[in-house]
Amino acid sequence: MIADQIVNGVILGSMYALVALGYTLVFGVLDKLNFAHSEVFMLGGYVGLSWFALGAPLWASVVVAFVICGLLGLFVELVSFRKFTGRDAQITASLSSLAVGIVIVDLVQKHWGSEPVSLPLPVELRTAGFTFMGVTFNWLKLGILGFTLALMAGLHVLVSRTALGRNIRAVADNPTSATLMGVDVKRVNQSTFFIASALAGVAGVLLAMRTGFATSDIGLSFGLKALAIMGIGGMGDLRGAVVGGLLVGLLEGLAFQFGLGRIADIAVWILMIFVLLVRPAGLFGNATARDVRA
Amino acid sequence: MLTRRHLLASTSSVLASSAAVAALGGPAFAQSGATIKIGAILPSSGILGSYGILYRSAIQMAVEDINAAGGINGAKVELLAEDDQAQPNQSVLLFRKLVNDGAAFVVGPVTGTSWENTAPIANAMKVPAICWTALKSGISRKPYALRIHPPNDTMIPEGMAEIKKIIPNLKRIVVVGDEREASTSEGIKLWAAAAKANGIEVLETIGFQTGTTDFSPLAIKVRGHNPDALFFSALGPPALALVKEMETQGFDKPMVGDSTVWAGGSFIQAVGSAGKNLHTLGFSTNETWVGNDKYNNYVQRFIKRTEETTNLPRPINVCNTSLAYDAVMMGADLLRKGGVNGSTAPAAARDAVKNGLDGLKKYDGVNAITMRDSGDGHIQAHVLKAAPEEKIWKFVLPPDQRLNTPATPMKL
Repeated sequence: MIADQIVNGVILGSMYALVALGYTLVFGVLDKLNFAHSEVFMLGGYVGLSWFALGAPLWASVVVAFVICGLLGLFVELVSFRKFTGRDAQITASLSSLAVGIVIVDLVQKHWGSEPVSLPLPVELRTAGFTFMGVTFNWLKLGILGFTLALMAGLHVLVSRTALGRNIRAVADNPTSATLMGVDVKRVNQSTFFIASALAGVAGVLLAMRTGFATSDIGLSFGLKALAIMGIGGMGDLRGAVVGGLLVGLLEGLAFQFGLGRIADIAVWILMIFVLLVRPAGLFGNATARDVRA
Repeated sequence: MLTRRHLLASTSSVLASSAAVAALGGPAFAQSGATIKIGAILPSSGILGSYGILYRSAIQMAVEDINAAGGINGAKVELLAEDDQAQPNQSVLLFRKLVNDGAAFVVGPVTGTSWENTAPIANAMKVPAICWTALKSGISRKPYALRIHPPNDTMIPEGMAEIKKIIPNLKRIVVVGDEREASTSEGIKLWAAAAKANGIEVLETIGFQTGTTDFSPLAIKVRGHNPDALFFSALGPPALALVKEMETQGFDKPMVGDSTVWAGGSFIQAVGSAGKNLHTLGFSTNETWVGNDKYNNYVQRFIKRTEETTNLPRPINVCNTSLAYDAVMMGADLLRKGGVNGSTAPAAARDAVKNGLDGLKKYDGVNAITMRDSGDGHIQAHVLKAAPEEKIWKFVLPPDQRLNTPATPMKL
């Protein structure tokens, strides 16, 4: 049973990591927190669900959520971050993104209602699996894990091996120097928002597939945990987001296993307090650098 | 031309009249066109939004029926409905607001936590409140705050007795639930106590917190025990997540929730195949009640009205909405009997309702409610089963096989 919880914790943690990566990517580049990110993630679930309900295949629902949430990310960048470029505008930009997030929640509730909406996945698809060495594996969840890991690997390649990635790292390191070297900072910011938000949208669909429904309060609960995971891993550090996500997923699963279910949902916050006390810059961060490391 | 003297004079007169009104116990009904105001606190947004929208339809229908029948001693009734988003702090603030707005009595709020916080305020402000939901026992406060819904201290033992009849081989169960919400927190303990009282072994009691996002670790833990059934107490949204995850984990044993999942406007429509072994407790469904024309008429009218006025998922879940209707009708009856009309001051109208509630032993509305000394209602609870394809709840046992012995309220 512990092995079951560990496998499940890894799957859950990978989804936390996917959302946390978006937070950390934007923070690494802009040095600002995008509080609308968790609501973009929430919207992803509804977008995927709606397309699936219209008869689109699952993969198409994921693609549509990727595109729509990516575009929404561009909108967030435009209204909440484009004008607020200075270091003294950190709070203004973050507050503006918080407001955008609240508007997104309100619009979702107006359109889909305030209670969970079911994703009409065939029950066979959600329950099919196999048992190996006493551990139960669910095909859908394994698929979600595989897809999530592939996305994270893709992001790693993009940031570390491509021209766009080099530009992202240059802007994260020093926007002024990057501009002097001919990097289009505005374009890099837009690309970063698109990628971060698109990944969040995909995470939203994957979570809806995993749980069987979409709900408008998931941004506040699941999304905020991803924010804490960024703090645990180290602000702006992609490795930290992945490790932090997996740690929290495992911790939550094992908390239930050992009779501590009532604190499972706050485990992430307890872990964050503990990690920040020991390492104020997070597991992979340091006190001064906030650069994006692939 | 408005001079400083005019301004001073008019301000003084407004202040003086406000002070006089306050001294007399609020604005007289006559000042607002001789209507009698009834307050309602219920969530029409937030995670329990569908509950509130559903109940509001029943409350509005009651107000329409009262006015269509000539009002209360000739005075029309005006509904002041407020959205508390199922947040206890909002429930308390809105209760005070409704009192200031001149409500003769207030129906609601909906959740146990909200009712637990509002009932003492009702007594402190001497304004009657009638709750038609909420399940935690011992939180109604006489003489001003009464609940006509049976709390879990009778519903759960009555339900467990019937469950034993339906699943005779029930030996080992796991109990899970939301530990933060007042009603469900008590529900977990009552399920465990009722199981033990019926000779059923409780393998583990697992609590979670409101807002839990992922139930897979909990479901794995439950599955590992291999129980004969899972009993739970959780509001609709987390309950939906729980039963769907149990299905994903391949758990195909009976799942039994308390009446929190019976109520609400979207759970039964959303549960789908995860509800194939799902049971709850309740006392009314969308089914025709043979020989009870009053109830059948209510169901027919309520469904029609709610379909026309809301966008709640279909079919409309009737559940305990008739108690919301009864709460308004009961208060109106007490106002009528107390001789309240459009010119009665709110304080006098509130006294009339309080005096009526004080001596109330039974109420025959759409439901036949017996009032307990605790200030709570009693209606015999029965076991219902989800019919996922029809998206409605149904009684498990036919009427002649249901248990009809009221339980002694269970103490923890």
